[in-house]
Amino acid sequence: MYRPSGLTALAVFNFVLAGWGLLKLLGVAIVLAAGTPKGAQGQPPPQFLMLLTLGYLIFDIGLMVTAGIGYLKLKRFLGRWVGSIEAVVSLAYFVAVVAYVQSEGIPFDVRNLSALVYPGLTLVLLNIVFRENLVH
Amino acid sequence: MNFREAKIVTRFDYKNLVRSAPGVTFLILYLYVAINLGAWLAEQLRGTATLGGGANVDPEMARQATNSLLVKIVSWFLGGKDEVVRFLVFDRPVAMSAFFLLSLLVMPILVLFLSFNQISGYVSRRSIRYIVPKTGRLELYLGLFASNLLFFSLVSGALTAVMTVGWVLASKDVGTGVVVGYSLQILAAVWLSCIPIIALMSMLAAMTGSPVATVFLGLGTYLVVILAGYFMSAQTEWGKVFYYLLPLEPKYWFAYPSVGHFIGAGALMLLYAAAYLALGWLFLRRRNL
Repeated sequence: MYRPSGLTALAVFNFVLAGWGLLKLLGVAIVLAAGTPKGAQGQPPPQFLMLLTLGYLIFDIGLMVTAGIGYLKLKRFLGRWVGSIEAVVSLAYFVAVVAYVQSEGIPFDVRNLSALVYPGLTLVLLNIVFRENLVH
Repeated sequence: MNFREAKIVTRFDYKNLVRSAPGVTFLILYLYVAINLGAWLAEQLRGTATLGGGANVDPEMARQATNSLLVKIVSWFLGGKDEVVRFLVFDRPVAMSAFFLLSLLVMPILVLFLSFNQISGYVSRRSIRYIVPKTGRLELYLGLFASNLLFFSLVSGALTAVMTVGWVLASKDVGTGVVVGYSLQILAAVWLSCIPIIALMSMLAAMTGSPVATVFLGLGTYLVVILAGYFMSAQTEWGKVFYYLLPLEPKYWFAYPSVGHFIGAGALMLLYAAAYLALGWLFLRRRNL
């Protein structure tokens, strides 16, 4: 079946972002291993947040690569469902981090909103635009 | 002009545009860049003054704010128009004003990269020969323009929705109503200022019949008009006329305080778009496809 070029682009984005996530994972692992990490204000970042990020990154990278392969093979489960689950997990992680940061009294940084762009668009593209293509 | 056929072309091309690699890439990169730009500007707001409080602005805050980067950005765009600068800095959230002016500068240039593949794609692939017997050239030409406009509306609408949420969360001293109202004004202004550029690309696509040539010619036109306007206006008073070959100057009227300026700028943008489309049609009408 015909694969739209946008779906190929989405798969490429998934692989690139998975690679970026791998670098972040490496960074978090180094910070955790170093023992006394320093945050932006010279304070150590909370252990809870670091472990949450570590868990999220491991889970997310796996889902991103799997979904990317699913997009290329036009798979309904591996592409549409795994891609959608990945997007929902990313959104849930965003909400959890924002809620935690707000509860600590740290002001909201608008830059964080850019983390919503990819998962939000993935959900829309997979379930509306490319729904008819991911059917195998 | 058969509107039903133009609607079919618009729907078909819009679906293709959303599913294409350039469409998806533009959508993701545009939102990502714009949100980071807006966030950076919002970050500049901290520690100076949130402003937007009109006459209630603390003089000390105002003094600090006039030295801030945001005010310098606003002043650079509207040099010499002190009352407009004062309005944008003190009566409106200044970070949003800076975002507004930067969007008016950058978005039309980004749109050049979105709307290059209009009729030129069909002409270069020769597939237009199979389409023209089923629909008229005018319907195809306007339908493709409308689909590009629709896609850009979707992207700028999504951007405004995300940005509005961010502005509301970030600005504690400015009311939600002011932020939402100003966001809608920014959306309308940026959307209107991009219509002539999409029309310009329609015209260039009809002239060249090649997507690559359309991009280069679009960028070249922008550059030549700016350079010619700059050098010619230094030589003679009439040289400023060059600037008006593109809507470079009037788009900043959208930021002025009066409603009249906004409506005038909007009408002028539509007039520019109509002129470009008409010129493009003159080429396409008799072109050997």
